[in-house]
Amino acid sequence: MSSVSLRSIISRISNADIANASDENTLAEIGATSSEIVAIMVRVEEELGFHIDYSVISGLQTIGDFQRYLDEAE
Amino acid sequence: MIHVVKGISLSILAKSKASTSVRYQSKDERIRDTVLNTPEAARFLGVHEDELVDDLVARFGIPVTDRSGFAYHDLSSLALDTCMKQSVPELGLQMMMRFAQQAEDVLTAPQTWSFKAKAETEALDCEGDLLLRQPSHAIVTVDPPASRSDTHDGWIFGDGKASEISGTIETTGSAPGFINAEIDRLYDWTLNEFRNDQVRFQWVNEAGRQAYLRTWNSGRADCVVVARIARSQLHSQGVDSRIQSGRILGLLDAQHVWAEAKDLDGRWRRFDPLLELNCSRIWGESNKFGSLFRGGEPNALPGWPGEHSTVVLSVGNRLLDTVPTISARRLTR
Repeated sequence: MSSVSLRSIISRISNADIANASDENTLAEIGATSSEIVAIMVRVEEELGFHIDYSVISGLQTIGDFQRYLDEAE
Repeated sequence: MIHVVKGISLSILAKSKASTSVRYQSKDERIRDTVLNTPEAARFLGVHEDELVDDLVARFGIPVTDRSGFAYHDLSSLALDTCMKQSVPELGLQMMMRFAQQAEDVLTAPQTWSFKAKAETEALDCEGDLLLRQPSHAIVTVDPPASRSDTHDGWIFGDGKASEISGTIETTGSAPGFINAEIDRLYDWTLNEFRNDQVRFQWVNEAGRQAYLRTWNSGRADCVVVARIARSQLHSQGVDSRIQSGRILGLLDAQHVWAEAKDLDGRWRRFDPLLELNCSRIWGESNKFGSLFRGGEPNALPGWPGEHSTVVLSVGNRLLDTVPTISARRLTR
Protein backbone atom coordinates (compact mmCIF):
# COMPACT_ATOMS: atom_id res chain seq x y z
CA MET A 1 0.00 0.00 0.00
CA SER A 2 1.38 3.39 -1.00
CA SER A 3 1.75 6.25 1.46
CA VAL A 4 0.43 8.45 -1.34
CA SER A 5 -3.37 8.42 -1.18
CA LEU A 6 -4.93 9.60 -4.40
CA ARG A 7 -8.34 10.03 -2.78
CA SER A 8 -6.85 12.19 -0.04
CA ILE A 9 -5.06 14.39 -2.59
CA ILE A 10 -8.23 14.73 -4.68
CA SER A 11 -10.28 15.75 -1.64
CA ARG A 12 -7.74 18.43 -0.72
CA ILE A 13 -7.46 19.92 -4.21
CA SER A 14 -10.72 19.41 -6.01
CA ASN A 15 -14.43 19.92 -5.42
CA ALA A 16 -15.02 16.62 -7.22
CA ASP A 17 -17.28 14.14 -5.46
CA ILE A 18 -14.58 11.75 -4.28
CA ALA A 19 -16.68 10.44 -1.37
CA ASN A 20 -19.14 8.81 -3.74
CA ALA A 21 -16.62 7.83 -6.41
CA SER A 22 -15.87 4.20 -7.17
CA ASP A 23 -12.49 2.91 -8.27
CA GLU A 24 -13.95 2.47 -11.75
CA ASN A 25 -14.67 6.20 -12.16
CA THR A 26 -12.33 8.51 -14.04
CA LEU A 27 -11.26 11.85 -12.63
CA ALA A 28 -13.36 13.66 -15.23
CA GLU A 29 -16.41 11.56 -14.38
CA ILE A 30 -16.37 12.66 -10.76
CA GLY A 31 -16.23 16.29 -11.83
CA ALA A 32 -12.53 17.17 -11.67
CA THR A 33 -11.73 19.99 -14.08
CA SER A 34 -8.68 19.97 -16.35
CA SER A 35 -6.84 22.40 -14.10
CA GLU A 36 -7.72 20.30 -11.06
CA ILE A 37 -6.40 17.17 -12.76
CA VAL A 38 -3.14 19.02 -13.46
CA ALA A 39 -2.95 20.09 -9.81
CA ILE A 40 -3.67 16.52 -8.66
CA MET A 41 -0.92 15.18 -10.91
CA VAL A 42 1.55 17.79 -9.67
CA ARG A 43 0.77 17.00 -6.02
CA VAL A 44 1.04 13.25 -6.63
CA GLU A 45 4.44 13.72 -8.28
CA GLU A 46 5.62 15.97 -5.45
CA GLU A 47 4.70 13.29 -2.93
CA LEU A 48 6.24 10.52 -5.03
CA GLY A 49 9.38 12.56 -5.65
CA PHE A 50 9.56 11.87 -9.38
CA HIS A 51 7.76 12.61 -12.64
CA ILE A 52 5.44 9.98 -14.05
CA ASP A 53 6.29 9.24 -17.66
CA TYR A 54 3.60 9.61 -20.33
CA SER A 55 4.02 5.93 -21.20
CA VAL A 56 2.66 5.24 -17.71
CA ILE A 57 0.09 8.05 -17.60
CA SER A 58 -1.42 6.96 -20.89
CA GLY A 59 -2.10 3.50 -19.46
CA LEU A 60 -4.12 4.87 -16.52
CA GLN A 61 -7.79 5.68 -16.82
CA THR A 62 -9.62 5.24 -13.54
CA ILE A 63 -9.04 6.21 -9.93
CA GLY A 64 -8.39 2.54 -9.21
CA ASP A 65 -5.78 2.29 -12.01
CA PHE A 66 -4.02 5.34 -10.65
CA GLN A 67 -3.96 4.17 -7.04
CA ARG A 68 -2.73 0.69 -8.05
CA TYR A 69 0.14 2.35 -9.92
CA LEU A 70 0.98 4.42 -6.83
CA ASP A 71 0.88 1.30 -4.66
CA GLU A 72 3.37 -0.43 -6.95
CA ALA A 73 5.56 2.61 -7.56
CA GLU A 74 6.78 3.03 -3.99
CA MET B 1 6.91 39.36 -50.98
CA ILE B 2 3.37 40.22 -49.98
CA HIS B 3 0.83 37.45 -49.55
CA VAL B 4 -2.83 38.26 -49.52
CA VAL B 5 -4.96 36.60 -46.86
CA LYS B 6 -8.62 37.23 -47.59
CA GLY B 7 -7.70 40.71 -48.74
CA ILE B 8 -5.22 41.24 -45.91
CA SER B 9 -1.52 41.03 -46.63
CA LEU B 10 1.05 39.26 -44.49
CA SER B 11 2.92 42.55 -44.33
CA ILE B 12 -0.01 43.89 -42.33
CA LEU B 13 0.01 40.82 -40.13
CA ALA B 14 3.71 41.26 -39.40
CA LYS B 15 3.59 44.30 -37.15
CA SER B 16 6.43 44.97 -34.75
CA LYS B 17 5.36 43.67 -31.36
CA ALA B 18 8.69 42.92 -29.70
CA SER B 19 8.25 43.92 -26.08
CA THR B 20 9.00 42.53 -22.67
CA SER B 21 5.79 43.79 -21.06
CA VAL B 22 2.84 41.48 -20.47
CA ARG B 23 0.29 41.53 -23.28
CA TYR B 24 -3.11 41.58 -21.68
CA GLN B 25 -6.38 40.94 -23.48
CA SER B 26 -8.39 43.76 -25.01
CA LYS B 27 -11.07 45.60 -23.09
CA ASP B 28 -13.72 43.95 -25.27
CA GLU B 29 -12.44 40.52 -24.32
CA ARG B 30 -12.09 41.43 -20.63
CA ILE B 31 -15.73 42.54 -20.35
CA ARG B 32 -16.88 39.01 -21.14
CA ASP B 33 -14.24 37.22 -19.09
CA THR B 34 -14.56 35.23 -15.86
CA VAL B 35 -13.46 37.14 -12.77
CA LEU B 36 -11.33 35.60 -9.99
CA ASN B 37 -11.11 37.10 -6.52
CA THR B 38 -7.72 37.56 -4.85
CA PRO B 39 -7.47 34.11 -3.17
CA GLU B 40 -8.57 32.38 -6.39
CA ALA B 41 -6.15 34.45 -8.47
CA ALA B 42 -3.25 33.66 -6.13
CA ARG B 43 -4.00 29.92 -6.33
CA PHE B 44 -4.21 30.16 -10.12
CA LEU B 45 -0.79 31.84 -10.28
CA GLY B 46 0.77 29.58 -7.66
CA VAL B 47 1.79 32.48 -5.40
CA HIS B 48 0.82 33.77 -1.95
CA GLU B 49 -1.93 36.37 -1.79
CA ASP B 50 0.53 38.88 -0.29
CA GLU B 51 2.88 38.50 -3.24
CA LEU B 52 0.02 39.06 -5.66
CA VAL B 53 -1.29 42.16 -3.91
CA ASP B 54 1.99 43.73 -2.74
CA ASP B 55 4.19 42.99 -5.73
CA LEU B 56 2.74 41.50 -8.91
CA VAL B 57 -0.18 43.91 -9.38
CA ALA B 58 2.07 46.97 -9.43
CA ARG B 59 5.09 45.37 -11.12
CA PHE B 60 3.16 43.95 -14.05
CA GLY B 61 0.22 46.37 -14.13
CA ILE B 62 -2.39 43.60 -13.88
CA PRO B 63 -5.71 45.17 -14.84
CA VAL B 64 -8.28 45.10 -12.05
CA THR B 65 -11.77 44.65 -13.39
CA ASP B 66 -14.68 46.77 -12.25
CA ARG B 67 -16.14 43.57 -10.84
CA SER B 68 -13.70 43.48 -7.92
CA GLY B 69 -11.25 40.94 -9.13
CA PHE B 70 -8.89 39.85 -11.87
CA ALA B 71 -9.92 38.64 -15.30
CA TYR B 72 -9.05 34.97 -15.81
CA HIS B 73 -7.29 35.52 -19.15
CA ASP B 74 -5.30 38.51 -17.88
CA LEU B 75 -3.90 36.23 -15.19
CA SER B 76 -3.06 33.54 -17.74
CA SER B 77 -1.28 36.20 -19.85
CA LEU B 78 0.81 37.18 -16.85
CA ALA B 79 1.58 33.54 -16.04
CA LEU B 80 2.59 32.63 -19.59
CA ASP B 81 4.40 35.86 -20.52
CA THR B 82 6.54 35.68 -17.38
CA CYS B 83 6.80 31.86 -17.25
CA MET B 84 5.40 31.48 -13.72
CA LYS B 85 6.43 27.87 -13.15
CA GLN B 86 3.84 27.06 -10.46
CA SER B 87 0.91 28.67 -12.26
CA VAL B 88 -1.95 26.61 -13.68
CA PRO B 89 -1.20 27.63 -17.30
CA GLU B 90 2.50 26.67 -17.11
CA LEU B 91 1.88 23.45 -15.21
CA GLY B 92 -0.96 22.60 -17.59
CA LEU B 93 1.24 23.21 -20.60
CA GLN B 94 3.98 20.98 -19.24
CA MET B 95 1.52 18.23 -18.36
CA MET B 96 -0.20 18.50 -21.74
CA MET B 97 3.07 18.30 -23.66
CA ARG B 98 4.34 15.26 -21.80
CA PHE B 99 2.91 13.05 -24.57
CA ALA B 100 5.34 14.62 -27.06
CA GLN B 101 8.40 13.59 -25.06
CA GLN B 102 8.73 10.24 -26.80
CA ALA B 103 10.91 8.93 -29.60
CA GLU B 104 9.42 9.47 -33.05
CA ASP B 105 9.03 5.74 -33.75
CA VAL B 106 7.08 5.33 -30.50
CA LEU B 107 4.85 8.32 -31.21
CA THR B 108 4.06 7.18 -34.75
CA ALA B 109 3.50 3.45 -34.08
CA PRO B 110 0.00 1.96 -34.27
CA GLN B 111 -1.79 2.14 -30.91
CA THR B 112 -5.09 0.88 -29.58
CA TRP B 113 -6.91 2.76 -26.85
CA SER B 114 -10.03 2.00 -24.87
CA PHE B 115 -12.27 4.99 -24.28
CA LYS B 116 -15.28 6.05 -22.25
CA ALA B 117 -17.36 9.04 -23.26
CA LYS B 118 -20.22 10.68 -21.46
CA ALA B 119 -22.14 13.73 -22.59
CA GLU B 120 -24.56 15.82 -20.61
CA THR B 121 -27.08 17.54 -22.82
CA GLU B 122 -29.38 18.99 -20.17
CA ALA B 123 -28.08 22.51 -20.73
CA LEU B 124 -28.79 22.45 -24.46
CA ASP B 125 -32.53 22.28 -23.87
CA CYS B 126 -33.51 20.85 -27.25
CA GLU B 127 -34.19 17.48 -28.81
CA GLY B 128 -31.80 15.81 -31.21
CA ASP B 129 -29.52 12.86 -31.78
CA LEU B 130 -26.46 12.54 -29.61
CA LEU B 131 -23.61 11.90 -32.03
CA LEU B 132 -20.13 10.56 -31.31
CA ARG B 133 -18.21 12.01 -34.25
CA GLN B 134 -15.79 10.09 -36.41
CA PRO B 135 -12.13 11.17 -36.20
CA SER B 136 -10.21 12.00 -39.38
CA HIS B 137 -7.22 9.69 -39.01
CA ALA B 138 -8.30 7.06 -36.49
CA ILE B 139 -10.67 4.09 -36.45
CA VAL B 140 -13.36 3.97 -33.76
CA THR B 141 -15.24 0.83 -32.74
CA VAL B 142 -18.08 1.29 -30.28
CA ASP B 143 -19.18 -1.37 -27.82
CA PRO B 144 -21.97 -2.34 -27.77
CA PRO B 145 -22.42 -1.58 -31.47
CA ALA B 146 -24.36 1.62 -32.11
CA SER B 147 -26.09 2.74 -35.28
CA ARG B 148 -24.24 4.97 -37.71
CA SER B 149 -25.63 8.40 -38.48
CA ASP B 150 -27.40 8.90 -41.82
CA THR B 151 -24.43 10.90 -43.06
CA HIS B 152 -21.94 8.31 -41.76
CA ASP B 153 -20.03 10.95 -39.84
CA GLY B 154 -20.43 9.21 -36.52
CA TRP B 155 -22.50 7.03 -34.24
CA ILE B 156 -25.87 7.83 -32.72
CA PHE B 157 -26.14 6.89 -29.10
CA GLY B 158 -28.49 7.40 -26.22
CA ASP B 159 -31.96 8.86 -26.18
CA GLY B 160 -31.84 10.46 -22.76
CA LYS B 161 -30.32 13.66 -21.48
CA ALA B 162 -27.07 12.01 -20.41
CA SER B 163 -25.52 9.04 -22.13
CA GLU B 164 -22.40 6.97 -21.98
CA ILE B 165 -20.56 5.11 -24.68
CA SER B 166 -17.37 3.09 -24.73
CA GLY B 167 -15.19 1.40 -27.29
CA THR B 168 -11.76 1.46 -28.84
CA ILE B 169 -9.80 3.95 -30.92
CA GLU B 170 -7.03 2.72 -33.21
CA THR B 171 -4.52 5.43 -34.03
CA THR B 172 -1.49 5.44 -36.28
CA GLY B 173 1.04 8.21 -36.47
CA SER B 174 3.12 9.32 -39.44
CA ALA B 175 6.53 10.85 -40.01
CA PRO B 176 6.92 14.62 -40.43
CA GLY B 177 7.55 16.63 -43.58
CA PHE B 178 5.66 18.44 -46.33
CA ILE B 179 6.16 17.89 -50.05
CA ASN B 180 4.84 21.32 -51.01
CA ALA B 181 7.55 23.93 -50.29
CA GLU B 182 4.90 26.64 -49.91
CA ILE B 183 3.43 24.83 -46.90
CA ASP B 184 6.91 24.62 -45.39
CA ARG B 185 7.42 28.32 -45.95
CA LEU B 186 4.17 29.28 -44.25
CA TYR B 187 5.00 26.94 -41.36
CA ASP B 188 8.37 28.66 -40.91
CA TRP B 189 6.76 32.08 -41.14
CA THR B 190 4.39 31.18 -38.29
CA LEU B 191 7.20 29.76 -36.18
CA ASN B 192 9.28 32.88 -36.71
CA GLU B 193 6.45 35.18 -35.71
CA PHE B 194 6.59 33.53 -32.29
CA ARG B 195 10.37 33.22 -32.13
CA ASN B 196 10.77 36.92 -32.96
CA ASP B 197 8.21 37.82 -30.28
CA GLN B 198 5.79 39.29 -32.80
CA VAL B 199 3.19 36.93 -31.35
CA ARG B 200 3.10 35.18 -27.98
CA PHE B 201 1.29 32.04 -26.93
CA GLN B 202 -1.47 32.97 -24.51
CA TRP B 203 -4.85 31.65 -23.54
CA VAL B 204 -7.53 33.51 -25.52
CA ASN B 205 -11.22 33.57 -24.65
CA GLU B 206 -14.05 33.08 -27.12
CA ALA B 207 -14.35 36.81 -27.88
CA GLY B 208 -10.66 36.94 -28.83
CA ARG B 209 -10.97 33.77 -30.90
CA GLN B 210 -13.89 35.18 -32.84
CA ALA B 211 -11.80 38.26 -33.66
CA TYR B 212 -8.80 36.04 -34.44
CA LEU B 213 -7.13 38.38 -36.92
CA ARG B 214 -7.30 41.31 -34.49
CA THR B 215 -6.03 39.10 -31.70
CA TRP B 216 -3.11 37.90 -33.82
CA ASN B 217 -2.31 41.49 -34.78
CA SER B 218 -2.28 42.43 -31.10
CA GLY B 219 0.53 39.91 -30.66
CA ARG B 220 -1.38 37.14 -28.89
CA ALA B 221 -2.57 33.73 -30.01
CA ASP B 222 -3.76 30.40 -28.68
CA CYS B 223 -4.16 27.20 -30.64
CA VAL B 224 -7.51 28.22 -32.11
CA VAL B 225 -6.19 31.59 -33.29
CA VAL B 226 -3.06 29.97 -34.80
CA ALA B 227 -5.17 27.35 -36.60
CA ARG B 228 -7.52 29.99 -38.04
CA ILE B 229 -4.63 32.19 -39.22
CA ALA B 230 -2.92 29.12 -40.74
CA ARG B 231 -6.08 28.07 -42.54
CA SER B 232 -6.44 31.56 -44.04
CA GLN B 233 -2.82 31.72 -45.12
CA LEU B 234 -2.79 28.26 -46.65
CA HIS B 235 -6.04 28.98 -48.47
CA SER B 236 -4.64 32.25 -49.84
CA GLN B 237 -1.75 30.31 -51.35
CA GLY B 238 -4.09 27.86 -53.04
CA VAL B 239 -3.48 25.08 -50.54
CA ASP B 240 -6.57 23.22 -49.30
CA SER B 241 -6.70 23.50 -45.53
CA ARG B 242 -9.00 22.52 -42.72
CA ILE B 243 -9.18 22.71 -38.96
CA GLN B 244 -9.01 19.72 -36.65
CA SER B 245 -9.82 19.55 -32.98
CA GLY B 246 -8.60 16.79 -30.73
CA ARG B 247 -7.92 15.57 -27.27
CA ILE B 248 -4.70 14.16 -25.96
CA LEU B 249 -5.49 10.57 -25.07
CA GLY B 250 -4.67 9.58 -21.55
CA LEU B 251 -5.39 10.78 -18.07
CA LEU B 252 -5.22 14.52 -18.66
CA ASP B 253 -7.56 14.72 -21.65
CA ALA B 254 -6.27 18.13 -22.75
CA GLN B 255 -7.89 19.72 -25.79
CA HIS B 256 -6.08 21.16 -28.78
CA VAL B 257 -6.93 22.66 -32.17
CA TRP B 258 -4.68 22.78 -35.25
CA ALA B 259 -4.73 23.18 -39.02
CA GLU B 260 -4.15 20.54 -41.68
CA ALA B 261 -2.88 21.18 -45.19
CA LYS B 262 -3.56 19.00 -48.21
CA ASP B 263 -0.16 18.19 -49.66
CA LEU B 264 0.79 17.55 -53.29
CA ASP B 265 0.21 13.78 -52.88
CA GLY B 266 -3.38 14.42 -51.75
CA ARG B 267 -2.69 13.57 -48.09
CA TRP B 268 -3.82 15.81 -45.27
CA ARG B 269 -0.81 16.70 -43.11
CA ARG B 270 -0.69 18.37 -39.73
CA PHE B 271 0.32 22.05 -39.70
CA ASP B 272 0.84 22.54 -35.97
CA PRO B 273 3.71 24.94 -35.23
CA LEU B 274 2.36 25.76 -31.78
CA LEU B 275 3.21 22.28 -30.48
CA GLU B 276 6.73 22.62 -31.91
CA LEU B 277 7.04 25.93 -30.06
CA ASN B 278 5.75 24.35 -26.86
CA CYS B 279 8.46 21.70 -27.14
CA SER B 280 11.07 24.45 -27.44
CA ARG B 281 9.59 26.28 -24.48
CA ILE B 282 9.79 23.21 -22.26
CA TRP B 283 12.86 21.33 -23.52
CA GLY B 284 14.89 24.08 -25.22
CA GLU B 285 15.54 25.01 -28.85
CA SER B 286 17.69 21.94 -29.50
CA ASN B 287 15.00 19.47 -28.42
CA LYS B 288 14.32 16.55 -30.75
CA PHE B 289 10.57 16.30 -30.20
CA GLY B 290 8.95 19.35 -31.84
CA SER B 291 9.80 18.62 -35.46
CA LEU B 292 7.12 15.89 -35.64
CA PHE B 293 4.39 18.53 -35.78
CA ARG B 294 5.66 19.82 -39.15
CA GLY B 295 3.46 17.49 -41.17
CA GLY B 296 3.73 14.46 -38.89
CA GLU B 297 0.95 12.79 -36.94
CA PRO B 298 1.29 11.69 -33.30
CA ASN B 299 -0.64 8.58 -32.30
CA ALA B 300 -1.78 10.15 -29.02
CA LEU B 301 -3.67 13.14 -30.42
CA PRO B 302 -6.26 12.17 -33.03
CA GLY B 303 -8.28 14.95 -34.63
CA TRP B 304 -11.93 15.46 -35.43
CA PRO B 305 -13.08 17.69 -38.32
CA GLY B 306 -13.68 21.35 -37.57
CA GLU B 307 -13.87 22.92 -34.18
CA HIS B 308 -16.85 20.97 -32.89
CA SER B 309 -16.82 18.84 -29.79
CA THR B 310 -16.16 15.11 -30.06
CA VAL B 311 -19.75 14.48 -28.96
CA VAL B 312 -22.44 16.78 -30.36
CA LEU B 313 -26.19 17.06 -30.40
CA SER B 314 -27.27 16.77 -34.01
CA VAL B 315 -30.41 18.84 -34.62
CA GLY B 316 -31.40 18.96 -38.30
CA ASN B 317 -28.39 20.40 -40.11
CA ARG B 318 -26.92 21.88 -36.94
CA LEU B 319 -24.30 20.41 -34.64
CA LEU B 320 -24.58 21.72 -31.07
CA ASP B 321 -21.50 21.20 -28.96
CA THR B 322 -21.79 19.26 -25.73
CA VAL B 323 -19.17 19.24 -23.01
CA PRO B 324 -18.38 15.53 -22.84
CA THR B 325 -16.09 13.80 -20.42
CA ILE B 326 -13.82 11.49 -22.35
CA SER B 327 -11.08 9.31 -21.00
CA ALA B 328 -8.86 6.93 -22.90
CA ARG B 329 -6.39 4.31 -21.80
CA ARG B 330 -3.61 2.96 -23.99
CA LEU B 331 -4.02 -0.79 -24.46
CA THR B 332 -0.98 -1.37 -26.69
CA ARG B 333 2.11 -2.13 -24.63
